[in-house]
Amino acid sequence: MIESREEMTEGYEKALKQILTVSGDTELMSAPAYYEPSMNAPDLSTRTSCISVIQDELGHGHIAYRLLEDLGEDKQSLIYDRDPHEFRNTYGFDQKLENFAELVTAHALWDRAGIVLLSDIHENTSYGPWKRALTKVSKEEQFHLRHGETWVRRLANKSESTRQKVQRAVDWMFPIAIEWFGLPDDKKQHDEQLEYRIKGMTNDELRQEWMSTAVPLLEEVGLDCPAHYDADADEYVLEYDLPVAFDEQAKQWRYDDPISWSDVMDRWRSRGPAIEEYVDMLQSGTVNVGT
Amino acid sequence: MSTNTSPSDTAIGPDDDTDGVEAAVWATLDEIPDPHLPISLVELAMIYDVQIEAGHVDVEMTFPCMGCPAYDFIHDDIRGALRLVDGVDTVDIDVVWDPIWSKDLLDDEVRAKLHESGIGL
Repeated sequence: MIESREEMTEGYEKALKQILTVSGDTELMSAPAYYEPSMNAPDLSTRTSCISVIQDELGHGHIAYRLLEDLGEDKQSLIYDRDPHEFRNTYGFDQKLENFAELVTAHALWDRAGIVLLSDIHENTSYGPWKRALTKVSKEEQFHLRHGETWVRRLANKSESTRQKVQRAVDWMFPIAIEWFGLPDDKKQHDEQLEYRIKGMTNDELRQEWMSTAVPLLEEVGLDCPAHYDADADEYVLEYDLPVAFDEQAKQWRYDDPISWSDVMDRWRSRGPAIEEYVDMLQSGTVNVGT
Repeated sequence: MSTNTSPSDTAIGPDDDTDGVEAAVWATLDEIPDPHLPISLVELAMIYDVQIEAGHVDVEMTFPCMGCPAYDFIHDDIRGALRLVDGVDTVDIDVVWDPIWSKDLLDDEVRAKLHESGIGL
């Protein structure tokens, strides 16, 4: 187990900083993404739960940045001095979440992806300080997931109108989670984070882990998703050829428009439509009302 | 299971001679985790009293804060878990704010568990 910077090789430190930055930025950027739809929660108690999720996410971001400070970075500067395109959060949190159905689908699908990624690190990482810090994070993320699952079930069963809203959310948010786990193993030449044992599972293993609970939830409540369990292969399989183009304005996947992983990386690097607004919200501490 | 005493010396938790259905109810409540913390509702000293009469259970409890984000979840968990206890037919939950919950209600073992998961008191 690695405990301090002095014990790290240059390569280890670089790989660790990279994954901690992605983790911290993803936690941080979920806060502005979750903010507006949380204000539109259907009752006061639910709004309190949604706000608590945001508070937790900011705390998780703080933990990752605090760990980065041990590696010579400055938290203040990481949050306030970077331009929007310099943040490394997952692409999903570059998108605008426009209603409560999208918010709870994010809790149910995207927080689940966060749990899968962080549980692997919690269990397998060679970096002691991160492993210990994740005990609290993992427990809190379970609450977010439960909140998401509870509300996805409620909306799916309440009326045709709410079912359609949550289905529309799943339609664009499910494939974003699939992409989140990154390049398929057969296209990834080497994975430094895996080689340094900063994480323990490969991209495809993590994607399978996510699908093994996400797909049964959606099937249970009668929501469609482009994946199913294949008994012969004994694994979950996608019903489209990954990766495909995404129309981020219409929030629609173009399944008949195959692209390369290099195109995906370019799309990620260009950042999504809401990143500037979210970074401004965080850095200015203000919310633009009515825009 | 933890037995706690409030600052005003009001007994919180089961009495030493609790048995039968009441003991089963306390044991079940002690298995319900707080949705945010790695300890049970009983360990967190949220359950003040349990009364049972002819299959009806009254749970008197409090919350560490008035705006608890898991308020509904915890109600659902208590009702769901107690329904499975032999001898329990119906459950009422009475949320009270006196005595006021305080971290002084937590015993050393619980404090150690929280500390271990990175939660300061």
